Amino acid sequence: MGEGSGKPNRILKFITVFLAFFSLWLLLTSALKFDEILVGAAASLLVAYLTSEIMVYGGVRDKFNPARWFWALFYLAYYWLYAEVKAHYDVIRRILSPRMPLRPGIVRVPYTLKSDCGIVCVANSITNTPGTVTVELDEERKTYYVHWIWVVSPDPKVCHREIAAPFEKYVRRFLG
Amino acid sequence: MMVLEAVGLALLFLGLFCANVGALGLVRFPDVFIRSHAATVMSMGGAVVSIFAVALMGGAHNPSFFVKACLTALIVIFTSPTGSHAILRAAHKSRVKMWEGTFCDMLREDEEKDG
Repeated sequence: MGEGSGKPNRILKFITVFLAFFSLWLLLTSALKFDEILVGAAASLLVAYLTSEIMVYGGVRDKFNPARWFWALFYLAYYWLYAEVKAHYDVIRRILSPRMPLRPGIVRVPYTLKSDCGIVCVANSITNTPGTVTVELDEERKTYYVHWIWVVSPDPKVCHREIAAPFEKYVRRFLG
Repeated sequence: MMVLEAVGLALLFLGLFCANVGALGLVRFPDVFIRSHAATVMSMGGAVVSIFAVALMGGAHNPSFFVKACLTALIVIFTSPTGSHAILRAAHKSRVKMWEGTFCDMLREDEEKDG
């Protein structure tokens, strides 16, 4: 954020998008032959030229910051090895239990993130864990409305601590 | 190589279990909002874990297969929350009846406050 839209910045954006598409091409073909690489480079150049203005959110330098990449990978591991496992266990237990303990409701969950990407990342993380689904997002009140399968308490502070705080803590370190 | 295949097979059975339990939840749960949680068990625990398991089993012989399958799993991870959010938002906006045991609906409260 805060960088101008002058010519150097546009070239940086172009290079970022080109590198992203070209590395995706290399991963997908995974054959290091000259003609494959040539076609991939040409296609990536064309796509980067057409889309570089709308593909990059925020500052370009953030995308090459190794600390941000580390926290993104750390978040991926934390999310899949802890958050998802815990949420799956909880919901599977409710499905299989004969009495089926349910206390569902839509609660307010305030958030403190600033960037659009960060807000969407946390909202998607909440939806992807079973037991909580983001139904609506209010940017003026800075609140997610989350359908929760077991409402511990309707107090927004408790909801934030239980649902959004663990994700926000790590997402803030790579998306702001 | 054998280790990767064994881990993949174990994850495949885990995905199978999640998909079956999710289908059971889809039948047992009382309304569309609660059913969406069972659908999440199916898409995350069922689909993503199974695709990752296949990626491990195939990737033991062919590294590019691993990359392609992981990309498929990533696409499911990014698109499925958009779908369930859109379904529930539409259901709430068109006032689909919620289960009588619903504890609270603060979205409706705030909407009525705004008028």
